[in-house]
Amino acid sequence: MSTPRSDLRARVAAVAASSAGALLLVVPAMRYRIDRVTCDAWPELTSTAREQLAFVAAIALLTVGWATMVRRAPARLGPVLLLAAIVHAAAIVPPPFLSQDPLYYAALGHAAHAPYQPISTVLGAEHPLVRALPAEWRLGTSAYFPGFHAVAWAVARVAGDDVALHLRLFQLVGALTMLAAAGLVGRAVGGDGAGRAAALVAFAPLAIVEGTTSAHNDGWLALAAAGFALLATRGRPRLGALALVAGVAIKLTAVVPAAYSCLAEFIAAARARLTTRRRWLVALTVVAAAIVVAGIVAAPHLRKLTNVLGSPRDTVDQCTSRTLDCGVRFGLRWLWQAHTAAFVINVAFRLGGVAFLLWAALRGSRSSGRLVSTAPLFVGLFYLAFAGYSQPWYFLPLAALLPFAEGPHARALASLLVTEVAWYPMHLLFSCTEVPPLPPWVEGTAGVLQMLIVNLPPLVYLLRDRRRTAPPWAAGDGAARA
Amino acid sequence: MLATASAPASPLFTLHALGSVIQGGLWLVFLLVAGLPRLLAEREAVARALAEDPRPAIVEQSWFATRLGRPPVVIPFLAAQLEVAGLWSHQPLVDAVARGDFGRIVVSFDLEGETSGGHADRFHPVVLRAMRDRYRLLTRDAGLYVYAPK
Repeated sequence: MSTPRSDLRARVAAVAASSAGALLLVVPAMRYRIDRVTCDAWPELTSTAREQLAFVAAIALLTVGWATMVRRAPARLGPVLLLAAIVHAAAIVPPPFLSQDPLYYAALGHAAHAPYQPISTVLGAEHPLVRALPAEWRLGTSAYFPGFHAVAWAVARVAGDDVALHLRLFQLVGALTMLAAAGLVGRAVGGDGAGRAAALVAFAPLAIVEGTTSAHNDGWLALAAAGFALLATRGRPRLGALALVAGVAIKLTAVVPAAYSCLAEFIAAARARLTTRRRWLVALTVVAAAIVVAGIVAAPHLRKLTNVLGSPRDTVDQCTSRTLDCGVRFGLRWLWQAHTAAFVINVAFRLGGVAFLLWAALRGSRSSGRLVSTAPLFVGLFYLAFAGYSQPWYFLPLAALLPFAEGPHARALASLLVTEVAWYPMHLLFSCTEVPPLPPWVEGTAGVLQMLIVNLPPLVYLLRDRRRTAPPWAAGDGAARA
Repeated sequence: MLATASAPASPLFTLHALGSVIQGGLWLVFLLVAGLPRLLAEREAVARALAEDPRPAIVEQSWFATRLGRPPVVIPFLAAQLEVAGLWSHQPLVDAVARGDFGRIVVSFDLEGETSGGHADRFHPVVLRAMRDRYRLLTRDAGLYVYAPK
């Protein structure tokens, strides 16, 4: 039985645990910070036990803080956002250390006028921000779109040539996007559930680690997803779809949720206005038109598309070891040199992704409620199973959609917001082992362990929650079971 | 919050998580039961091969040489790909192979057979030709092919 005093104590404990977890990230961050540590001076494998343990402890504290705050969050949105701001401020203390993306953001801000030319050509090879990049990135071009180029440009105007200041400003932007997403989601849910919904987003370990500390620009996609949820729950699903489409101004991966909402809206409109026969005619026309338009639009980028699909002649895969098909493809190549079979598996999973998109859109087209409640499953499972190349920060939009998840898979999806960052100690150990290389046996084992860490907790929750009718955080106690 | 009580869409999710966990478990067992013993056997085989000749050696899996305190003459994959990209010249390496400067060459495939898959990514055809011309098979040990100058 909770009392106002015990609630207050629980909230203070939650903020303390989450803030302590965020601050504890300083230990690995100071050893691996991206603005100072490169592969040339990567810490010795055997000398980093303290950093690995600190990281694991930090994730444990963040998880405890998250779970506690979700259970005992104030009903009102304002206090939750205030408490979340404390945690995200703490998350800015450790410098980025898990991904070198923010270094590229920093350089990109100075090359925003010519983002699709090699960055060392635009800025010069001796520019301090170019020199800060990994060697293989210096000839790279932007993987982002004008919306993010504008953000990076604005940060660059403030930070000048100060690399560390760039990173701090990107962290601040990341924190603001995550807090704004939490605010919008809180408003979408409204009533007594507003504070809890916002806590679910803002206190999620993934939101803190990837959204703020690592400063990934996918925070903007989380904001777009939150905008979608707000508009859809208020009976404006088409405007919601536009919010997701706006995410494409940041980066290409935003196409995934945008395609889901647009397709669902299209199906809903067709269902409402057309007879069955005409629906098929329209559907065939639209598919044909989509193929033509995609052909025209995709033609200049065909090389990137074929990189994703690969070819039967490939002998290596572009995929992350945490995805199911990656392990299968690797096995086919390594054990049996079955490169064509590996290619077929790759294509099958990518086609499976298209089928899953169609299924999710059909399901979401039934009603606004279904549209919003299918979205977290679609986004989570698509990036987990069908993207092939799946990084933890791709799941930031899932954080914004999680409050709307349905009972049977709500806790499984929630667990992804922990497990997707829980395997990082292995990444820190092995991300710079190409020179000198380690035996594939060691890296293979690390990959397998990553796969287990990411997938085992969701599996346990899926099996336990088969008959759960509402998420545990739903108003009126979601522990209700059928 | 929307606590929609609807037909669960979780079978696919469950299937994926279950498939991933089973696959991860199988891989783990395989790596421990089959991969680790083979790795240890190969490690010892390279140690035996390199102990016979103190001169520099080319070892396809260069970490085996590195752990013995023998600096890798070349990291095959990087060298081959840099050569293909025109960012590095392998000519000094080819010349050294042709002179027989390396006491041992240890690879995990038969130099006289067809070079495919990952091996082909690691060695440029010109380097392979120089190896075939100047080196002979000394022994096969733990699945590795050990070559010495003719």
